[in-house]
Amino acid sequence: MAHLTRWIGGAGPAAIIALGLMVASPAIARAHEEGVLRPASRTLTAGDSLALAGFKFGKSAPLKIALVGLGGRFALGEVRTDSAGAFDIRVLVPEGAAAGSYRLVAIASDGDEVAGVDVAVTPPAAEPAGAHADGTHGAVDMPDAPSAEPLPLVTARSSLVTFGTVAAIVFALMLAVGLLRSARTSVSLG
Amino acid sequence: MFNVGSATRSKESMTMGTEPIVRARQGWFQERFARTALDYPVPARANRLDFMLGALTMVALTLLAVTGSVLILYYNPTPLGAHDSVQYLITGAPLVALLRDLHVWGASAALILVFAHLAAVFWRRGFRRPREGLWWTGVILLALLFGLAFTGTVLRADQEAVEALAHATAGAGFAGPLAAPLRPDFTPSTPLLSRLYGLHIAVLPLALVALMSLHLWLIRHLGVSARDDVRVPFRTHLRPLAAFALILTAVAAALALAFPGELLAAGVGGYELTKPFWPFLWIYAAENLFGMAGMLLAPGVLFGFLALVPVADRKDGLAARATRVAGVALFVLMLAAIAYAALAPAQSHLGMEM
Repeated sequence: MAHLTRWIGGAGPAAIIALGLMVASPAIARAHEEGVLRPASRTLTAGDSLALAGFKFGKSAPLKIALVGLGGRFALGEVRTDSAGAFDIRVLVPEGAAAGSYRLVAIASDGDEVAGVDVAVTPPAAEPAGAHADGTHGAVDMPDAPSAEPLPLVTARSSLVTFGTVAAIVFALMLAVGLLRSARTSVSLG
Repeated sequence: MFNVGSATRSKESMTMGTEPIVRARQGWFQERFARTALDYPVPARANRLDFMLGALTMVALTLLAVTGSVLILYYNPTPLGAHDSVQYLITGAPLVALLRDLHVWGASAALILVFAHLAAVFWRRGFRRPREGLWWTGVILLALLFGLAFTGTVLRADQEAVEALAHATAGAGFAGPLAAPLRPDFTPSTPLLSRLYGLHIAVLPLALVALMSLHLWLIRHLGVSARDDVRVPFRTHLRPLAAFALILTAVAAALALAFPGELLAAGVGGYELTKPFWPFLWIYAAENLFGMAGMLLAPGVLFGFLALVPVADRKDGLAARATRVAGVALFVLMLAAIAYAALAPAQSHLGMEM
């Protein structure tokens, strides 16, 4: 045991400091600004066109737009950002893209991915009533504007759950008091 | 007529008759489950609440594991389905909604208790020889708890989650190969959210259980750091501990009923409007003041200090006093930073819009 403690005493801090340095080292410094991609919808239909906006990229920077997933990698087009680092284009979702989860990405001229958004591709034919490949129901649109306000959701409550919980709380507290009393009689709590 | 004498005699004969059976049963139980293994001596002071904070943290973690096991059945860990599934379990499933609220309050309880435990052990210098390993495993456990709190926040897929994820992705850019799985382009087969879900429900809990086993093993072999000549069986520790565990669970349940957890609208990338979950507010405050460097340095300073404590404070003297003063100052600074971040208006970072 003493040997183990000596070993930990010697190697422990060194290992933790080494790990800290490894984590903190700026190993990969991004060479260019990262932007934001905003498709009109996050549920894409193979064969349909899609409005795609981007912003916060480098000014007048060439970007390649691609769809990347297990179904393959599809080049959707190229675009050059304006003087504010933004763009608006329409791209065609390839008919050959199999249904499933993908990432819509923007790639800078050096090959680095500078923006991405998770999307789902559904087949062009009528969908079976129910669900998409990823288990969602209906189209998932991108919200127009972000919000920091909580959604006005009504939390589901049933009288059985509520009263059952209140009863359990009361029972737990009574049991706790009983346990503390019996513990005090057997051992001083200091 | 009621005959007291015969009643007493019959009671005695009944007791005498059942005693061998009770003893035999206890022997059977003892032989198979080693009940008396809990009778090892511990200092009587260990029965005080300030020596139970670590065990109560474990109780909170057990609460999180139990409630989380149910939430797994309702949560959809895909980028497009996650927010909908959380919204559904809040509005459509009463018991699951309550368990989610219990999960949220349980997370806060675990973090409060672990910091109280850390402060108590630091104050009574429970990290000194031969308990350095115990302290370091505790520090790593604290880091794992922060990891669990962070990944749990992100799984909601709301505005706060998207902003937290943007910060993690930006931080991952500075962390080299260690943080490669936190990059969105790590693999096309799994979205980042699904990877974080895997971290939250499997990788981090497994690491937590493994490290906690080591932590408990060290406590069992090194003993608690209480100095007390009076010794009592460890079994006597369990009764007050069970009482405090029940109180903790009851308080968390009451808070879950009274203050259900919120959900913001589905997140939009490129904006920062919210503040993080309260345990991360001190990092948020550092980022407000020093930008990205503050976000990376604040946890580095805390965990660097905690790692060095057993090395700096080996015996009484100037170094020990300096370590104590630095620890108290850091703790007060953290609390002040949390208060400042909670009260100050929200700020945006990493070039995001407000």
